[in-house]
Amino acid sequence: MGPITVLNELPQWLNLGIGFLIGIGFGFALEQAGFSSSRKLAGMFYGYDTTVLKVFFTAAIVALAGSQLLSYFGLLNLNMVYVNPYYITATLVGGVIMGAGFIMGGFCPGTGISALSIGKIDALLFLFGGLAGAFVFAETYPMIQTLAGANYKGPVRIDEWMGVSPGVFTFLLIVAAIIMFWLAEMAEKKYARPDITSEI
Amino acid sequence: MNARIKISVLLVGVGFILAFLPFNAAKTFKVKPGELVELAAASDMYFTVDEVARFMNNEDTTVQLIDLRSEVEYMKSNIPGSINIPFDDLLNPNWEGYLNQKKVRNIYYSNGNETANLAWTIATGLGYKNSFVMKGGLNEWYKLVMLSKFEGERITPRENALFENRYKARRTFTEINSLPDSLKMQYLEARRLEESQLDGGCE
Amino acid sequence: MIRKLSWIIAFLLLIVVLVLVQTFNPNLFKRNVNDALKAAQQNTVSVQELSNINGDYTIIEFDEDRRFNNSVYIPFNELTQKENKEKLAELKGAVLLYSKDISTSSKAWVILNQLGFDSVFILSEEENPEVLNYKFRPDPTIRPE
Repeated sequence: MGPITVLNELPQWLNLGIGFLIGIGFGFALEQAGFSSSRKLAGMFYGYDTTVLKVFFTAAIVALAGSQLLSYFGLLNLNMVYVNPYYITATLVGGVIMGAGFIMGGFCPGTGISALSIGKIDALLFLFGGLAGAFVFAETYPMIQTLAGANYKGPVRIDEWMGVSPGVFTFLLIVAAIIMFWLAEMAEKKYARPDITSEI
Repeated sequence: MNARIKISVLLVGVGFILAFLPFNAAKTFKVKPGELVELAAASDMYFTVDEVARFMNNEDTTVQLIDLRSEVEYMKSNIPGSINIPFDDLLNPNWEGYLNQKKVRNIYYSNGNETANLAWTIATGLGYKNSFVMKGGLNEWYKLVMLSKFEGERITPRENALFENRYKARRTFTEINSLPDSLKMQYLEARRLEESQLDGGCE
Repeated sequence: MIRKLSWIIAFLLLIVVLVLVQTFNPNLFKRNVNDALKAAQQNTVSVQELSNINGDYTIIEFDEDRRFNNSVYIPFNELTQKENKEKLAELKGAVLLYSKDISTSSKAWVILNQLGFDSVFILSEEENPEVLNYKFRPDPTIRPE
Protein backbone atom coordinates (compact mmCIF):
# COMPACT_ATOMS: atom_id res chain seq x y z
CA MET A 1 0.00 0.00 0.00
CA GLY A 2 2.64 2.49 0.98
CA PRO A 3 4.76 4.45 0.28
CA ILE A 4 1.90 5.85 -1.75
CA THR A 5 3.78 8.02 -4.21
CA VAL A 6 6.46 5.42 -4.98
CA LEU A 7 4.11 2.50 -5.52
CA ASN A 8 1.35 4.19 -7.44
CA GLU A 9 3.29 6.30 -9.92
CA LEU A 10 1.02 9.26 -9.30
CA PRO A 11 1.00 12.01 -11.89
CA GLN A 12 3.31 14.90 -11.12
CA TRP A 13 0.54 17.37 -10.24
CA LEU A 14 -0.98 14.97 -7.69
CA ASN A 15 2.42 14.28 -6.17
CA LEU A 16 3.06 17.99 -5.80
CA GLY A 17 -0.52 18.52 -4.59
CA ILE A 18 -0.04 16.00 -1.78
CA GLY A 19 3.21 17.74 -0.89
CA PHE A 20 1.36 21.08 -0.85
CA LEU A 21 -1.32 19.81 1.55
CA ILE A 22 1.19 18.21 3.90
CA GLY A 23 3.24 21.43 3.74
CA ILE A 24 0.23 23.50 4.81
CA GLY A 25 -0.36 21.15 7.73
CA PHE A 26 3.29 21.31 8.72
CA GLY A 27 3.43 25.09 8.56
CA PHE A 28 0.21 25.39 10.52
CA ALA A 29 1.52 23.06 13.24
CA LEU A 30 4.80 24.98 13.45
CA GLU A 31 3.05 28.30 13.82
CA GLN A 32 0.59 26.95 16.39
CA ALA A 33 3.42 25.44 18.43
CA GLY A 34 4.80 28.97 18.71
CA PHE A 35 7.79 28.36 16.50
CA SER A 36 7.33 31.59 14.66
CA SER A 37 8.78 33.33 17.72
CA SER A 38 12.55 33.47 17.85
CA ARG A 39 12.34 33.88 21.63
CA LYS A 40 10.98 30.36 21.80
CA LEU A 41 13.58 28.96 19.47
CA ALA A 42 16.47 30.67 21.23
CA GLY A 43 15.05 29.38 24.51
CA MET A 44 16.30 25.96 23.57
CA PHE A 45 19.85 27.31 23.57
CA TYR A 46 19.58 29.18 26.86
CA GLY A 47 17.44 26.53 28.55
CA TYR A 48 14.41 28.60 29.56
CA ASP A 49 12.12 27.09 26.93
CA THR A 50 12.62 23.59 25.53
CA THR A 51 9.49 23.39 23.40
CA VAL A 52 11.59 22.90 20.27
CA LEU A 53 13.19 19.77 21.63
CA LYS A 54 9.89 18.38 22.88
CA VAL A 55 7.93 19.05 19.70
CA PHE A 56 10.49 17.78 17.22
CA PHE A 57 11.44 14.74 19.24
CA THR A 58 7.79 13.85 19.86
CA ALA A 59 7.16 14.11 16.13
CA ALA A 60 10.12 11.84 15.47
CA ILE A 61 9.11 9.10 17.90
CA VAL A 62 5.45 9.19 16.86
CA ALA A 63 6.46 8.83 13.21
CA LEU A 64 8.92 6.08 14.11
CA ALA A 65 6.40 4.04 16.12
CA GLY A 66 3.67 4.63 13.55
CA SER A 67 5.74 3.57 10.56
CA GLN A 68 6.92 0.43 12.40
CA LEU A 69 3.33 -0.53 13.19
CA LEU A 70 2.17 0.12 9.62
CA SER A 71 5.05 -1.94 8.30
CA TYR A 72 4.20 -4.84 10.63
CA PHE A 73 0.65 -4.88 9.32
CA GLY A 74 1.96 -4.87 5.77
CA LEU A 75 0.60 -1.40 4.97
CA LEU A 76 3.96 0.27 4.44
CA ASN A 77 7.02 -1.19 2.79
CA LEU A 78 9.89 0.30 4.78
CA ASN A 79 12.42 -1.16 2.36
CA MET A 80 11.21 1.38 -0.18
CA VAL A 81 11.40 4.36 2.13
CA TYR A 82 14.34 6.55 1.28
CA VAL A 83 17.14 6.62 3.87
CA ASN A 84 19.40 9.66 3.76
CA PRO A 85 23.01 8.73 3.11
CA TYR A 86 25.44 9.58 5.88
CA TYR A 87 28.45 11.82 5.22
CA ILE A 88 30.20 12.15 8.59
CA THR A 89 32.38 15.20 7.90
CA ALA A 90 29.68 17.11 6.07
CA THR A 91 27.22 16.37 8.88
CA LEU A 92 29.60 17.70 11.54
CA VAL A 93 30.58 20.85 9.66
CA GLY A 94 27.05 21.50 8.47
CA GLY A 95 25.69 20.95 11.96
CA VAL A 96 28.00 23.58 13.43
CA ILE A 97 27.12 26.13 10.73
CA MET A 98 23.41 25.38 11.03
CA GLY A 99 23.52 25.64 14.85
CA ALA A 100 25.39 28.93 14.74
CA GLY A 101 22.94 30.34 12.23
CA PHE A 102 20.04 29.03 14.28
CA ILE A 103 21.04 30.82 17.48
CA MET A 104 22.19 34.02 15.76
CA GLY A 105 19.18 34.31 13.51
CA GLY A 106 16.63 32.90 15.90
CA PHE A 107 15.00 30.63 13.33
CA CYS A 108 15.62 27.40 11.55
CA PRO A 109 14.77 27.43 7.83
CA GLY A 110 11.28 25.97 8.25
CA THR A 111 10.27 28.18 11.15
CA GLY A 112 11.75 31.15 9.29
CA ILE A 113 9.13 30.68 6.58
CA SER A 114 6.49 30.15 9.23
CA ALA A 115 7.47 33.45 10.86
CA LEU A 116 7.58 35.27 7.53
CA SER A 117 4.03 34.14 6.85
CA ILE A 118 2.82 36.03 9.93
CA GLY A 119 4.70 39.10 8.75
CA LYS A 120 7.96 39.17 10.66
CA ILE A 121 10.57 41.37 9.02
CA ASP A 122 13.52 39.70 10.77
CA ALA A 123 12.38 36.41 9.25
CA LEU A 124 12.43 37.98 5.80
CA LEU A 125 16.06 39.02 6.27
CA PHE A 126 16.86 35.61 7.75
CA LEU A 127 15.52 33.90 4.64
CA PHE A 128 17.49 36.23 2.36
CA GLY A 129 20.57 35.21 4.32
CA GLY A 130 19.68 31.54 3.88
CA LEU A 131 19.21 31.94 0.13
CA ALA A 132 22.51 33.83 -0.14
CA GLY A 133 24.20 30.98 1.72
CA ALA A 134 22.67 28.43 -0.66
CA PHE A 135 23.92 30.50 -3.60
CA VAL A 136 27.45 30.72 -2.19
CA PHE A 137 27.41 26.98 -1.46
CA ALA A 138 26.36 26.14 -5.00
CA GLU A 139 28.93 28.48 -6.54
CA THR A 140 31.83 27.24 -4.40
CA TYR A 141 30.78 23.58 -4.51
CA PRO A 142 33.70 22.49 -6.74
CA MET A 143 36.09 23.84 -4.08
CA ILE A 144 34.46 22.08 -1.12
CA GLN A 145 33.50 18.93 -3.00
CA THR A 146 36.09 16.75 -1.25
CA LEU A 147 34.93 17.96 2.15
CA ALA A 148 31.25 17.44 1.30
CA GLY A 149 31.82 13.88 0.14
CA ALA A 150 34.31 12.82 2.82
CA ASN A 151 33.72 9.81 5.08
CA TYR A 152 30.73 8.56 3.17
CA LYS A 153 28.93 5.78 5.01
CA GLY A 154 25.96 5.19 2.72
CA PRO A 155 22.37 4.93 3.91
CA VAL A 156 23.05 3.43 7.36
CA ARG A 157 20.45 2.98 10.08
CA ILE A 158 21.22 3.15 13.80
CA ASP A 159 19.39 -0.11 14.63
CA GLU A 160 21.49 -1.97 12.06
CA TRP A 161 24.64 -0.41 13.44
CA MET A 162 23.63 -1.38 17.00
CA GLY A 163 22.54 -4.83 15.90
CA VAL A 164 19.09 -4.69 17.47
CA SER A 165 15.68 -5.05 15.85
CA PRO A 166 13.97 -1.83 14.72
CA GLY A 167 11.26 -2.43 17.33
CA VAL A 168 13.76 -2.58 20.21
CA PHE A 169 15.50 0.53 18.91
CA THR A 170 12.16 2.36 18.74
CA PHE A 171 11.41 1.40 22.33
CA LEU A 172 14.84 2.55 23.53
CA LEU A 173 14.51 5.84 21.70
CA ILE A 174 11.05 6.52 23.15
CA VAL A 175 12.31 5.86 26.68
CA ALA A 176 15.36 8.05 26.05
CA ALA A 177 13.15 10.81 24.64
CA ILE A 178 10.85 10.79 27.66
CA ILE A 179 13.78 10.96 30.07
CA MET A 180 15.12 13.83 27.98
CA PHE A 181 11.76 15.66 28.12
CA TRP A 182 11.72 15.29 31.88
CA LEU A 183 15.26 16.71 32.16
CA ALA A 184 14.28 19.50 29.77
CA GLU A 185 11.38 20.54 31.97
CA MET A 186 13.69 20.57 35.00
CA ALA A 187 16.01 22.85 33.03
CA GLU A 188 13.09 25.11 32.16
CA LYS A 189 12.45 25.63 35.87
CA LYS A 190 16.10 26.20 36.67
CA TYR A 191 16.81 28.68 33.87
CA ALA A 192 13.39 30.32 33.94
CA ARG A 193 13.37 33.85 32.50
CA PRO A 194 10.14 35.50 33.62
CA ASP A 195 11.22 38.68 31.86
CA ILE A 196 10.85 37.06 28.45
CA THR A 197 7.23 37.07 27.41
CA SER A 198 5.76 34.40 25.23
CA GLU A 199 3.82 37.00 23.28
CA ILE A 200 4.68 37.49 19.69
CA MET B 1 -2.99 13.78 35.54
CA ASN B 2 -1.71 15.94 32.76
CA ALA B 3 -1.62 15.29 29.07
CA ARG B 4 2.08 14.84 28.79
CA ILE B 5 2.06 11.88 31.18
CA LYS B 6 -0.77 10.29 29.22
CA ILE B 7 1.08 10.74 25.94
CA SER B 8 4.27 9.39 27.50
CA VAL B 9 2.44 6.28 28.72
CA LEU B 10 0.92 5.78 25.29
CA LEU B 11 4.23 6.10 23.47
CA VAL B 12 6.12 3.89 25.88
CA GLY B 13 3.32 1.32 25.61
CA VAL B 14 3.46 1.28 21.80
CA GLY B 15 7.24 1.11 21.93
CA PHE B 16 7.05 -1.81 24.35
CA ILE B 17 4.78 -3.74 21.99
CA LEU B 18 7.06 -2.93 19.06
CA ALA B 19 10.09 -4.22 20.96
CA PHE B 20 8.58 -7.71 20.93
CA LEU B 21 7.65 -7.83 17.26
CA PRO B 22 9.85 -9.92 15.02
CA PHE B 23 11.07 -7.37 12.50
CA ASN B 24 13.28 -9.71 10.62
CA ALA B 25 14.71 -7.85 7.72
CA ALA B 26 13.65 -11.00 5.89
CA LYS B 27 11.28 -10.63 3.02
CA THR B 28 7.96 -12.41 3.21
CA PHE B 29 5.22 -12.76 0.61
CA LYS B 30 2.87 -9.80 0.51
CA VAL B 31 0.13 -11.46 -1.53
CA LYS B 32 -2.30 -13.71 0.33
CA PRO B 33 -2.12 -17.46 -0.42
CA GLY B 34 -5.55 -17.60 -2.04
CA GLU B 35 -4.81 -14.62 -4.28
CA LEU B 36 -1.45 -16.04 -5.30
CA VAL B 37 -3.06 -19.33 -6.33
CA GLU B 38 -5.62 -17.39 -8.35
CA LEU B 39 -2.91 -15.39 -10.14
CA ALA B 40 -0.89 -18.56 -10.74
CA ALA B 41 -3.87 -20.43 -12.19
CA ALA B 42 -4.57 -17.71 -14.76
CA SER B 43 -3.23 -18.46 -18.22
CA ASP B 44 -2.36 -14.82 -18.99
CA MET B 45 0.89 -15.15 -17.04
CA TYR B 46 2.46 -16.86 -20.04
CA PHE B 47 3.90 -15.61 -23.30
CA THR B 48 4.67 -18.06 -26.09
CA VAL B 49 8.10 -18.11 -27.69
CA ASP B 50 6.55 -16.67 -30.85
CA GLU B 51 5.23 -13.70 -28.92
CA VAL B 52 8.64 -13.20 -27.31
CA ALA B 53 10.28 -13.43 -30.75
CA ARG B 54 7.94 -10.69 -31.95
CA PHE B 55 8.81 -8.47 -28.97
CA MET B 56 12.47 -9.00 -29.77
CA ASN B 57 12.07 -8.26 -33.47
CA ASN B 58 10.15 -5.07 -32.74
CA GLU B 59 12.65 -4.09 -30.03
CA ASP B 60 9.63 -3.58 -27.82
CA THR B 61 10.73 -1.36 -24.92
CA THR B 62 7.69 -2.22 -22.80
CA VAL B 63 9.12 -5.70 -22.31
CA GLN B 64 12.14 -6.84 -20.31
CA LEU B 65 13.38 -10.40 -20.70
CA ILE B 66 15.02 -11.87 -17.61
CA ASP B 67 17.37 -14.81 -18.04
CA LEU B 68 17.45 -16.86 -14.83
CA ARG B 69 20.33 -19.17 -15.75
CA SER B 70 23.90 -19.01 -14.55
CA GLU B 71 26.22 -16.40 -16.00
CA VAL B 72 28.18 -19.07 -17.91
CA GLU B 73 25.08 -20.36 -19.66
CA TYR B 74 23.92 -16.81 -20.29
CA MET B 75 27.16 -15.85 -21.99
CA LYS B 76 26.99 -18.89 -24.26
CA SER B 77 23.68 -17.84 -25.71
CA ASN B 78 20.79 -15.68 -24.61
CA ILE B 79 17.83 -13.97 -26.16
CA PRO B 80 19.09 -10.55 -27.31
CA GLY B 81 17.83 -7.80 -25.04
CA SER B 82 17.60 -10.01 -21.98
CA ILE B 83 19.35 -9.29 -18.69
CA ASN B 84 20.92 -12.01 -16.58
CA ILE B 85 19.56 -12.44 -13.05
CA PRO B 86 20.64 -15.92 -11.91
CA PHE B 87 17.84 -17.63 -9.98
CA ASP B 88 20.01 -18.03 -6.86
CA ASP B 89 20.59 -14.28 -6.87
CA LEU B 90 16.95 -13.32 -7.39
CA LEU B 91 16.51 -11.65 -3.98
CA ASN B 92 19.68 -9.56 -4.21
CA PRO B 93 18.50 -5.98 -3.51
CA ASN B 94 20.49 -4.82 -6.56
CA TRP B 95 17.83 -6.32 -8.80
CA GLU B 96 14.84 -4.90 -6.99
CA GLY B 97 14.74 -1.88 -9.30
CA TYR B 98 14.35 -4.19 -12.28
CA LEU B 99 11.92 -6.66 -10.74
CA ASN B 100 9.65 -4.46 -8.64
CA GLN B 101 8.35 -1.84 -11.04
CA LYS B 102 5.32 -0.97 -13.05
CA LYS B 103 6.81 0.37 -16.25
CA VAL B 104 7.66 -2.74 -18.25
CA ARG B 105 6.49 -6.34 -18.44
CA ASN B 106 9.14 -8.68 -17.05
CA ILE B 107 9.28 -12.03 -18.84
CA TYR B 108 11.23 -14.71 -16.97
CA TYR B 109 12.84 -17.58 -18.80
CA SER B 110 15.25 -20.40 -18.13
CA ASN B 111 16.07 -23.58 -20.04
CA GLY B 112 12.86 -25.34 -19.09
CA ASN B 113 9.65 -24.46 -17.32
CA GLU B 114 10.60 -25.17 -13.73
CA THR B 115 12.98 -22.39 -12.74
CA ALA B 116 11.03 -19.68 -14.54
CA ASN B 117 7.84 -20.65 -12.75
CA LEU B 118 9.60 -20.79 -9.39
CA ALA B 119 10.94 -17.28 -9.99
CA TRP B 120 7.55 -16.05 -11.22
CA THR B 121 5.81 -17.33 -8.10
CA ILE B 122 8.40 -15.72 -5.83
CA ALA B 123 8.23 -12.38 -7.66
CA THR B 124 4.45 -12.36 -7.79
CA GLY B 125 4.20 -13.48 -4.15
CA LEU B 126 6.39 -10.53 -3.17
CA GLY B 127 3.82 -8.31 -4.85
CA TYR B 128 5.90 -7.48 -7.93
CA LYS B 129 3.52 -6.57 -10.70
CA ASN B 130 4.01 -7.24 -14.40
CA SER B 131 5.65 -10.66 -14.08
CA PHE B 132 5.31 -13.21 -16.86
CA VAL B 133 6.89 -16.47 -17.98
CA MET B 134 8.06 -17.50 -21.43
CA LYS B 135 6.30 -20.81 -21.76
CA GLY B 136 8.64 -23.70 -22.50
CA GLY B 137 11.83 -21.76 -21.90
CA LEU B 138 14.87 -21.85 -24.18
CA ASN B 139 14.24 -25.48 -25.12
CA GLU B 140 10.96 -24.42 -26.70
CA TRP B 141 12.68 -21.38 -28.23
CA TYR B 142 15.28 -23.58 -29.91
CA LYS B 143 12.65 -26.05 -31.07
CA LEU B 144 10.28 -23.49 -32.60
CA VAL B 145 12.23 -20.34 -33.35
CA MET B 146 15.67 -21.71 -34.17
CA LEU B 147 14.99 -25.05 -35.79
CA SER B 148 11.45 -25.28 -37.12
CA LYS B 149 10.90 -25.41 -40.86
CA PHE B 150 7.74 -24.94 -42.77
CA GLU B 151 6.70 -28.23 -44.30
CA GLY B 152 3.78 -28.36 -46.65
CA GLU B 153 2.59 -27.44 -50.07
CA ARG B 154 0.85 -24.13 -49.70
CA ILE B 155 1.57 -21.57 -47.05
CA THR B 156 -1.30 -19.55 -45.62
CA PRO B 157 -0.75 -15.85 -44.93
CA ARG B 158 -0.91 -16.56 -41.20
CA GLU B 159 1.76 -19.23 -41.35
CA ASN B 160 3.80 -16.99 -43.55
CA ALA B 161 3.76 -14.22 -40.97
CA LEU B 162 4.61 -16.71 -38.23
CA PHE B 163 7.62 -18.06 -40.05
CA GLU B 164 8.85 -14.67 -41.14
CA ASN B 165 8.81 -13.64 -37.50
CA ARG B 166 10.71 -16.79 -36.51
CA TYR B 167 13.31 -16.40 -39.25
CA LYS B 168 13.95 -12.81 -38.34
CA ALA B 169 14.35 -13.71 -34.65
CA ARG B 170 16.61 -16.60 -35.61
CA ARG B 171 18.86 -14.26 -37.54
CA THR B 172 19.16 -11.71 -34.71
CA PHE B 173 19.72 -14.44 -32.13
CA THR B 174 22.51 -16.01 -34.17
CA GLU B 175 24.11 -12.68 -35.02
CA ILE B 176 24.26 -11.31 -31.49
CA ASN B 177 25.29 -14.58 -29.90
CA SER B 178 28.04 -15.18 -32.47
CA LEU B 179 29.81 -12.01 -31.43
CA PRO B 180 33.03 -12.51 -29.46
CA ASP B 181 32.52 -12.32 -25.69
CA SER B 182 34.11 -8.88 -25.29
CA LEU B 183 31.74 -7.30 -27.81
CA LYS B 184 28.79 -9.12 -26.29
CA MET B 185 29.69 -7.60 -22.93
CA GLN B 186 29.85 -4.13 -24.48
CA TYR B 187 26.41 -4.62 -25.97
CA LEU B 188 25.02 -5.70 -22.57
CA GLU B 189 26.72 -2.86 -20.70
CA ALA B 190 25.22 -0.33 -23.08
CA ARG B 191 21.76 -1.69 -22.37
CA ARG B 192 22.36 -1.63 -18.65
CA LEU B 193 23.35 2.04 -18.77
CA GLU B 194 20.10 2.88 -20.50
CA GLU B 195 18.16 1.09 -17.82
CA SER B 196 20.06 2.29 -14.77
CA GLN B 197 17.74 5.30 -14.77
CA LEU B 198 15.09 3.02 -13.26
CA ASP B 199 16.38 3.48 -9.72
CA GLY B 200 15.56 6.70 -7.99
CA GLY B 201 16.05 8.46 -4.71
CA CYS B 202 14.70 11.75 -3.56
CA GLU B 203 17.65 14.00 -3.97
CA MET C 1 -4.94 6.47 38.08
CA ILE C 2 -6.04 3.48 36.02
CA ARG C 3 -9.35 5.16 35.29
CA LYS C 4 -7.66 8.24 33.97
CA LEU C 5 -5.55 6.12 31.68
CA SER C 6 -8.46 3.94 30.55
CA TRP C 7 -8.53 5.31 26.99
CA ILE C 8 -4.86 4.78 26.57
CA ILE C 9 -4.96 1.27 27.96
CA ALA C 10 -7.88 0.44 25.67
CA PHE C 11 -5.91 1.72 22.68
CA LEU C 12 -2.83 -0.28 23.61
CA LEU C 13 -4.94 -3.41 24.08
CA LEU C 14 -6.43 -2.86 20.63
CA ILE C 15 -2.94 -2.76 19.14
CA VAL C 16 -1.97 -5.92 21.03
CA VAL C 17 -5.07 -7.71 19.69
CA LEU C 18 -4.36 -6.56 16.12
CA VAL C 19 -0.75 -7.67 16.45
CA LEU C 20 -1.80 -11.09 17.73
CA VAL C 21 -4.33 -11.49 14.92
CA GLN C 22 -1.66 -10.57 12.39
CA THR C 23 0.92 -12.88 13.96
CA PHE C 24 -1.29 -15.96 14.13
CA ASN C 25 -3.34 -15.43 10.98
CA PRO C 26 -3.11 -18.74 9.09
CA ASN C 27 -4.14 -17.04 5.89
CA LEU C 28 -0.86 -15.23 5.38
CA PHE C 29 2.61 -16.16 4.23
CA LYS C 30 5.13 -15.69 7.03
CA ARG C 31 8.16 -17.57 5.91
CA ASN C 32 11.37 -15.94 4.76
CA VAL C 33 11.46 -15.95 0.96
CA ASN C 34 15.16 -16.83 1.13
CA ASP C 35 14.14 -20.26 2.45
CA ALA C 36 12.43 -20.97 -0.86
CA LEU C 37 15.55 -20.01 -2.81
CA LYS C 38 17.71 -22.22 -0.61
CA ALA C 39 15.36 -25.19 -0.67
CA ALA C 40 15.00 -24.85 -4.45
CA GLN C 41 18.58 -26.07 -4.86
CA GLN C 42 17.33 -29.59 -4.23
CA ASN C 43 13.64 -29.77 -4.83
CA THR C 44 13.26 -31.98 -7.87
CA VAL C 45 12.87 -35.75 -8.08
CA SER C 46 12.45 -37.39 -11.44
CA VAL C 47 10.03 -40.22 -12.15
CA GLN C 48 12.99 -42.49 -12.86
CA GLU C 49 14.36 -41.90 -9.36
CA LEU C 50 11.08 -42.86 -7.67
CA SER C 51 12.20 -46.43 -6.98
CA ASN C 52 15.31 -45.17 -5.17
CA ILE C 53 13.31 -43.36 -2.53
CA ASN C 54 13.41 -45.15 0.77
CA GLY C 55 10.76 -44.21 3.25
CA ASP C 56 7.21 -43.03 2.85
CA TYR C 57 6.12 -40.68 0.18
CA THR C 58 2.85 -39.47 -1.24
CA ILE C 59 2.28 -38.17 -4.74
CA ILE C 60 -0.03 -35.20 -5.12
CA GLU C 61 -1.46 -34.81 -8.62
CA PHE C 62 -2.90 -31.59 -9.97
CA ASP C 63 -4.39 -33.04 -13.17
CA GLU C 64 -7.75 -34.71 -13.14
CA ASP C 65 -6.69 -37.74 -15.16
CA ARG C 66 -4.13 -39.32 -12.95
CA ARG C 67 -0.86 -40.87 -13.92
CA PHE C 68 -0.06 -42.69 -10.69
CA ASN C 69 -2.10 -45.14 -8.66
CA ASN C 70 -2.70 -44.30 -5.01
CA SER C 71 -1.90 -40.64 -5.57
CA VAL C 72 -3.92 -37.82 -4.04
CA TYR C 73 -5.72 -35.45 -6.39
CA ILE C 74 -5.87 -31.77 -5.42
CA PRO C 75 -7.00 -29.25 -8.05
CA PHE C 76 -4.36 -26.53 -8.21
CA ASN C 77 -6.79 -23.67 -7.66
CA GLU C 78 -7.98 -25.27 -4.42
CA LEU C 79 -4.45 -25.79 -3.11
CA THR C 80 -4.66 -23.32 -0.24
CA GLN C 81 -8.14 -24.28 0.95
CA LYS C 82 -8.28 -25.25 4.57
CA GLU C 83 -9.16 -28.93 4.12
CA ASN C 84 -6.40 -29.41 1.54
CA LYS C 85 -3.82 -27.81 3.78
CA GLU C 86 -4.93 -30.08 6.61
CA LYS C 87 -4.76 -33.07 4.30
CA LEU C 88 -1.20 -32.14 3.35
CA ALA C 89 -0.18 -31.59 6.95
CA GLU C 90 -1.34 -35.10 7.91
CA LEU C 91 0.78 -36.84 5.26
CA LYS C 92 3.84 -38.68 6.51
CA GLY C 93 7.13 -38.60 4.68
CA ALA C 94 7.95 -36.79 1.50
CA VAL C 95 5.30 -35.08 -0.60
CA LEU C 96 5.87 -35.24 -4.35
CA LEU C 97 4.00 -32.77 -6.53
CA TYR C 98 3.16 -33.95 -10.01
CA SER C 99 1.48 -32.32 -12.96
CA LYS C 100 1.83 -32.97 -16.66
CA ASP C 101 3.11 -29.47 -17.14
CA ILE C 102 5.88 -28.97 -14.59
CA SER C 103 4.90 -25.27 -14.39
CA THR C 104 1.92 -26.06 -12.16
CA SER C 105 3.86 -28.19 -9.70
CA SER C 106 6.66 -25.58 -9.60
CA LYS C 107 4.24 -22.84 -8.65
CA ALA C 108 2.57 -25.11 -6.09
CA TRP C 109 5.98 -25.93 -4.63
CA VAL C 110 6.81 -22.28 -3.91
CA ILE C 111 3.38 -21.69 -2.38
CA LEU C 112 3.62 -24.76 -0.12
CA ASN C 113 7.20 -23.91 0.85
CA GLN C 114 6.16 -20.42 1.89
CA LEU C 115 3.22 -21.82 3.83
CA GLY C 116 5.76 -23.74 5.91
CA PHE C 117 5.62 -27.21 4.35
CA ASP C 118 9.01 -28.91 4.28
CA SER C 119 10.07 -32.10 2.50
CA VAL C 120 7.96 -31.20 -0.51
CA PHE C 121 9.45 -32.04 -3.91
CA ILE C 122 8.61 -31.55 -7.54
CA LEU C 123 8.18 -34.82 -9.39
CA SER C 124 9.44 -34.32 -12.91
CA GLU C 125 8.94 -36.41 -16.01
CA GLU C 126 12.43 -35.68 -17.30
CA GLU C 127 15.66 -36.59 -15.58
CA ASN C 128 16.69 -32.96 -15.38
CA PRO C 129 14.05 -30.50 -16.61
CA GLU C 130 16.43 -27.54 -16.54
CA VAL C 131 19.00 -28.75 -19.06
CA LEU C 132 19.34 -27.09 -22.44
CA ASN C 133 18.74 -29.87 -24.96
CA TYR C 134 20.20 -27.89 -27.81
CA LYS C 135 23.55 -26.39 -28.48
CA PHE C 136 24.05 -22.96 -29.92
CA ARG C 137 26.12 -23.00 -33.12
CA PRO C 138 27.78 -19.64 -33.68
CA ASP C 139 27.81 -18.43 -37.24
CA PRO C 140 31.53 -18.00 -38.10
CA THR C 141 30.74 -15.65 -40.98
CA ILE C 142 29.42 -12.95 -38.64
CA ARG C 143 31.83 -10.04 -38.39
CA PRO C 144 31.39 -7.20 -35.95
CA GLU C 145 30.99 -3.96 -37.86
